[in-house]
Amino acid sequence: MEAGNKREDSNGERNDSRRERHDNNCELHLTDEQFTNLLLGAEPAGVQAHLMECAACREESERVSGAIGDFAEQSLLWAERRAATQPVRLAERQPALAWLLHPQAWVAGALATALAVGIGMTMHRDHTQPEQQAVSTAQADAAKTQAAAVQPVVAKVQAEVKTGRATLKADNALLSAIDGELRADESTPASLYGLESTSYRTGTKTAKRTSN
Amino acid sequence: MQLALNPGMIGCAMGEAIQSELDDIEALDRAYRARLLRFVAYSTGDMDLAETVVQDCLLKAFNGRETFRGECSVYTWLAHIAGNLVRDHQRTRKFQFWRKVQKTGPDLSELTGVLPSGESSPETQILARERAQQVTGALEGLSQNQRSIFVMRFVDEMELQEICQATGMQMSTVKTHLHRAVKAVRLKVGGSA
Repeated sequence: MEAGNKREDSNGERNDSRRERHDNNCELHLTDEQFTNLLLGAEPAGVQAHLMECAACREESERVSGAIGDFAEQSLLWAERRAATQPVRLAERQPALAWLLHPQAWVAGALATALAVGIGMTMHRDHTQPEQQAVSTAQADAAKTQAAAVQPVVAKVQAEVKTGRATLKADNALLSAIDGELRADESTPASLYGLESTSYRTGTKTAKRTSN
Repeated sequence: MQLALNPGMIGCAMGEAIQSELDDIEALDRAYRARLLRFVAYSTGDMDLAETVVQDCLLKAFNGRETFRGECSVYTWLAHIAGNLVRDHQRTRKFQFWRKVQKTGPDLSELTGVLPSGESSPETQILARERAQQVTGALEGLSQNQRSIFVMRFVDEMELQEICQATGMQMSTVKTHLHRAVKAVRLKVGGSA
């Protein structure tokens, strides 16, 4: 059959007419295994010869291989387009608790804890001190207020006491003076006679001092 | 003076180049993200899963770059990681639940907004898209292994030996999956079989 094909190749136009004749008479076509081998590039002599003779198989192989080529091209185009629109994640994906394996993580955790505790204590102290200050300030204010409130009363009382004492003293002096005057007006036989008793003089002197 | 090239030196230089490629996750992302996304999306038929798996795959490859021995290409190694990640995700109950609720496969109709290149007319591009959609439809009826191997071989153009390395399957198993996948595509696109 190969020899026949070579003769056909060398005979020009007569070659085509013979192919048509062979195609019309061809009852057996390529099996699936032969077809697969043909697509894989393995082309035994018998398959080549059959393709020369059978237009149906030749056309079918061309159609299938062309479709596969189109599929490869189109799918690559699709994949390139899809890959271009897909975000690239270059970061290494790690398990959720992988950070526990790093000593730096523990150091950082300890520092963070110490910092948090320090801040908490400072805030607590800052939060407590103003209360104490407020209490002491309130107490001082209350004391001042009380002192301020009491002071006029004390002063008033003191003034009243002083006034009372002075009044009492003045009243006593007045009463003594009146008593002296009354006594001085009383004529005694001695006075009448130019004889003054000591008590009378004392009373008179006292009345004079009071009036002065 | 004539320089003599030592094959060992070439291998060493290539190994260093690969290692430097793995050391730069941005370069790794630029070079392989789209291919991996296509591979996982069409293997699983789940767009959300594909994006998650590709992201995890690149990160896992970057973190485990010391374990790469250079016995295969970087893409084969990445496809192997991606395949394992897909299996891991699909084992979870959460995935199985959401798979029943919602499944969003790759949709080539998203490309309708792409302007036609100067090499082909709009009509040609529309025809090409329709043919590609036919292949997509054929793949939807296949198992995940069949789809993965089909995509690796005919889309990523990996050798059968590389597919064996990436999937951990025997050569005969790979060929069987590939044969079934081609049969389905031939039935859908070729109109015979």
